[in-house]
Amino acid sequence: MSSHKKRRSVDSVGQTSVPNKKPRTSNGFQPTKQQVHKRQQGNPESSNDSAEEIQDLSSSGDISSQGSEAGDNEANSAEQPDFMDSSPKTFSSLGVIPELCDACEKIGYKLATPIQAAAIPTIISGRDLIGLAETGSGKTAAYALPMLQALIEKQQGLFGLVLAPTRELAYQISQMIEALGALIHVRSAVIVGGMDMMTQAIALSKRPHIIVATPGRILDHLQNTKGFSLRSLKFLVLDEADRLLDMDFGPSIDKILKNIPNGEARRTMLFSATMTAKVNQLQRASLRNPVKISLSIDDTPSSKSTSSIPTTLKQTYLFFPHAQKDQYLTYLLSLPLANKTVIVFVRIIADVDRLTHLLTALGHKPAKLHGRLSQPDRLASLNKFKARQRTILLATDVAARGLDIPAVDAVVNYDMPDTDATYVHRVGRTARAGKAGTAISLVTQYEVEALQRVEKTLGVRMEEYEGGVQKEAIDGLEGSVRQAQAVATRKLRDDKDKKGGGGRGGRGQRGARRRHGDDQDLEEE
Amino acid sequence: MAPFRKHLKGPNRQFQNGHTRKKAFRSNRLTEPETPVVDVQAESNTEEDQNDSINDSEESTEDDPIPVNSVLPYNVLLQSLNTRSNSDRPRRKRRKIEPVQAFPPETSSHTQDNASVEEDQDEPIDDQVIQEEQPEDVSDADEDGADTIQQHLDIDEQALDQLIKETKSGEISMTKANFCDGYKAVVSGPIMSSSRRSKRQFNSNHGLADYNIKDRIRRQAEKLFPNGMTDLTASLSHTIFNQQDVLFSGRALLNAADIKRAVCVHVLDYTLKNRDHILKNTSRIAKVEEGDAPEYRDQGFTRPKILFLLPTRQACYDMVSEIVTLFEPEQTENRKRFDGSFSRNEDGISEDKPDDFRDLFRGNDDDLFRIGIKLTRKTLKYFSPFYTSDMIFASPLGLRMAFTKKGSTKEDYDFLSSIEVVVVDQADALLQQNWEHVEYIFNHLNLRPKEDHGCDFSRVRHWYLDGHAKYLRQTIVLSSLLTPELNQLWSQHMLNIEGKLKITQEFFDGAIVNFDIAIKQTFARFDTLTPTQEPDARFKAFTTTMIPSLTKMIKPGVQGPYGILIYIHSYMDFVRVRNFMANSSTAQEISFGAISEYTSSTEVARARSHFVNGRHAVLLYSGRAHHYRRYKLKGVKRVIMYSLPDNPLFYTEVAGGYLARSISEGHVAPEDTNVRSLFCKWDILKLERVVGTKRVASMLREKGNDVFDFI
Repeated sequence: MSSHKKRRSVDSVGQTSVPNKKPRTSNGFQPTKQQVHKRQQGNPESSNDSAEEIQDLSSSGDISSQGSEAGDNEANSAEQPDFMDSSPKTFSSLGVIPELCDACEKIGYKLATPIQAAAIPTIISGRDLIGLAETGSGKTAAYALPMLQALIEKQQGLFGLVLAPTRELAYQISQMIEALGALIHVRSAVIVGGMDMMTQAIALSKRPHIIVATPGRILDHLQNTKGFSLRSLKFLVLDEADRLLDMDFGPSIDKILKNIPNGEARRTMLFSATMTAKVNQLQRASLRNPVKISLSIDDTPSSKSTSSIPTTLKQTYLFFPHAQKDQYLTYLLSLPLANKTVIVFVRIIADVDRLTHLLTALGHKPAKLHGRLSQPDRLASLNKFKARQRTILLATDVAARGLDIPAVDAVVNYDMPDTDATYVHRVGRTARAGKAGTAISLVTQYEVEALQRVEKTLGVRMEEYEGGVQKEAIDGLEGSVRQAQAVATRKLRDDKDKKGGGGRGGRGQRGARRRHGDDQDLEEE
Repeated sequence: MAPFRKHLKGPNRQFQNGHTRKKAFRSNRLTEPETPVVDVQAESNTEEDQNDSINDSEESTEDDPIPVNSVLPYNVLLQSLNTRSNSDRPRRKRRKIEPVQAFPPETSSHTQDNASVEEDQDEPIDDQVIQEEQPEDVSDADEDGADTIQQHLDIDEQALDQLIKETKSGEISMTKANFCDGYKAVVSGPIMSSSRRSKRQFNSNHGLADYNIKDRIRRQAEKLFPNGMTDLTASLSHTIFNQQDVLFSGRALLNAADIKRAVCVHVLDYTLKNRDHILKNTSRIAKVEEGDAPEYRDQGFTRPKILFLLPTRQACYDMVSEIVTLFEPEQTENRKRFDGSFSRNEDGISEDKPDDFRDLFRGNDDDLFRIGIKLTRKTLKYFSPFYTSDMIFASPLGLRMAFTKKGSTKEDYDFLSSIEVVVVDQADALLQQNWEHVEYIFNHLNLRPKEDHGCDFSRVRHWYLDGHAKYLRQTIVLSSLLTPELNQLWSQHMLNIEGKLKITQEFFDGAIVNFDIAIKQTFARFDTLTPTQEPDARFKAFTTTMIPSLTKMIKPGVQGPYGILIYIHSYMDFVRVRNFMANSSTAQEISFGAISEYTSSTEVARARSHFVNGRHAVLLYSGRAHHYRRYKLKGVKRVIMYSLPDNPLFYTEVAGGYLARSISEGHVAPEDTNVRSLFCKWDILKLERVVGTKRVASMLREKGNDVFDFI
């Protein structure tokens, strides 16, 4: 973050932020780490009293229950009867207006989830917010409802902007906003890469109330679509905030922030299941007096990432030699996970393509999702999987974050993820909204270290999947998997020949000007 | 723009000038499209054109002397290039040199105009948005509120949705009424509130002063209508000025000039008001502090608002001249080039051709052209790039070819996305060209553009964003005939929410009564169920009823000239009949010649002489050949109308004229001549013009009898 932003933050927060600065910069979320909850290390019966914490980052916090800044946290917990009350809340009791409560009921939301119960009143009260909650805990509605409520109070076009790191997530958020806003006739637009600029320009020109966007494309419009500006924006949400603020998206976000109002005029919400150091920078950069709400925090002093994993998730691994990876995957999908909904995460696109052919040759019907597919193909794959026309989704990390696919039974990590945060987001695709789910990491001799790192960060000890696999079953698969591998290799070569010199497939003809902006929301693969 | 300008420096310009009549579609030009937009005079700072410009400036100084005491030689040069004679220019020039600016807006606009001349070569995207100047006179602009044009354009979303729903669902009112003396009208449009409906009343009593036309245009227009408007022109003006669609099928030599003038008044008024409105809003926006600017939605996606579809370059020249007379620009750009390439004084059409033919093909009759015209406050620029033009004038062929850029297979018709007034003049002549092009263009009007072309999205009107532009477009079609094609255009593409009028002649005497000599005319009816079956049914009727009588009449070995002319209106039918005559065993005894619009002049001469001397018993003659050539054929003794011509004059000429000539030259006795025509119920429009309004209904309906004789 550039230094001028820092200055601006001081300006907007005023003097109050000065005394706060010291503890924050020196210790990060120091108070938070004192509230380490060990439930996740196999203490299921205590999972009901979810640990909730409201951290007012400024001394002028207007949440009455807050103690003095950076105060004693035990006292804090004791003094927060509202938030510690584990009984579920109705939306109307959180201050949500009847129209939106009706909309919630219509889409089947009866009671607020903990993050919603904590975040909604805070946002309605007018505060900026950093919301940390486990995957699948209803974060989207937690900011969508108060945003729509604020919109009703001050109706205007281009009221809110929600940024998301992937296109699929943007569509999903937009669906949620439209569902919640159906009764109050909210107009929203999805502005993501890979879709027609002109259609989007026209959609923006109609001044939708809410824009859901990936950073690269909305920046492209800010820079190149004449007559479009976000000068009147009132509400900014960064969903998967840590991802948006990392090295890939950071520069785009910086530029977007320069083009929207600062200070009083605009409010900012950050949401994620994981939090990295750079979010701290954003707090300085564009939040005013933010309240931090984190639920089910599992934060150790050594970790650079704050993350949350649902307690209903069973995390397991399988250990075997590298050469047998395809056999193990085939085994899992054919026997224990047969007819279950499974997402297989793969690190590189080429392997997604290869495994698609391999599994098809073995009689499975996998859908695939990665950043090099055209946007319509991406949506089609995802929809097939969501509609359960396909039960296996082979995906890169483009599908790791935020996607809410109901009833995913298991997540298989074909490769171990690069970072711990990615691990949390990957496995967060299952065990959503209180349901059970299994995560299986395929670990070879090369990936033991990665597994240990994850275990250490999360403070979990994983168990071997079903107490190990029978050797005979794996060996029995060897022949057919070999054949399928040969088929897959041949088909990959055919695909390559078909594309010819096309390079990047359908995306080849795009103008160079847009190349930069488009690629940013692909998620690294 | 670039592709238009890239090639064509010298030779093609001559190509434009020295040209003869062309067919509807010339494939040889497809590969090498002519590019009329070459800014010779505007590109005065390129080396190549330097000589040109100097020559031009010398020429222009002859008829337009300018003071030489200027300290800005470059501006003088530009002025001399662009200026037509006008009285107050020297005063303005002096003002420009003065350090103290007495009239800041005007001065600044002037210098900016010059700047824009230079910018042209880079095709500045900003140019598309009108932003060069301040609005003209405030009084005009303030009248916006009551203006019918602005009322039409500023329609709110709910009202528009309702009107479109009515238009789409067919909930439209249709009435027939007496339009004005001699004309009747079908009025159609959404069922609207009474305020809107009142605008649909016919009114021939209003003069120009009764409409809210910009002062400067009205003053000019009143000079051009010294005796006021005729009833017909006034009635048409009323509907046109009220933004309604018009399909007028009574265009004639006598009324055309007045109607065109009224249309030009409207179109120019429309353009200038629109421009004032945009400039006023621009200055309003500039005044408002950043952040809270109110919305001013006053534009389309692209700048061109007006489209003229015209048959020939000369027609284009005349129409543009009309606008120039009304607009009175103080400066024009590329005027000489326009004059040179769009008009011609000598035309070499022989005196004995009919008047309508001479009117249509006089001057420069090239039918491949397109030109953009840009209006600024005091300047009219010819050959402006389409995306910076206010008006586009084109032939259907020329415009369609402008869609495809050279070396690209993609079509670009974004410049048609924001057309708000379409004028199709001489639609009857366009019908003889390739009507497909007209349909193609109408299908590509008011579509969502593929690229933004520098569009300011904050100012695009809501109905453009919603894709409703076609419901606000005004379409004005002027034709001398009503045909099924025009009816189709009326029902498919004239969707104006303000309603539409189809105006036709109340009564036709019929071409058959205009014959000088009494000739037996027989009309044989054949039946078909649908228009698509019509060609087959007609062919069958021809081969079963006409051919046997021909074979009976033409005795093998007997050479005497039989003089049987078969007129075939459509080229498709012509080819079919020709092939039949050549290949069929029943017709193989019959010797025949054929003249179509594609027949070379030597072939034509041979066919005509064989026909006269009897080597060919039969001559096939296509409708378009007659349209483009108007031959006066000799030796015709019998005429078979395979299909009736659209133009009743053709019937008079072909049936009446040719036979009368043979009779008067003594080749045939009047009682031996006859005309036999095939018709079916789908020919009702043509038939009415040929046999007259009185007879047409009974001829179509009468049962039992399907052959009708007239003497």
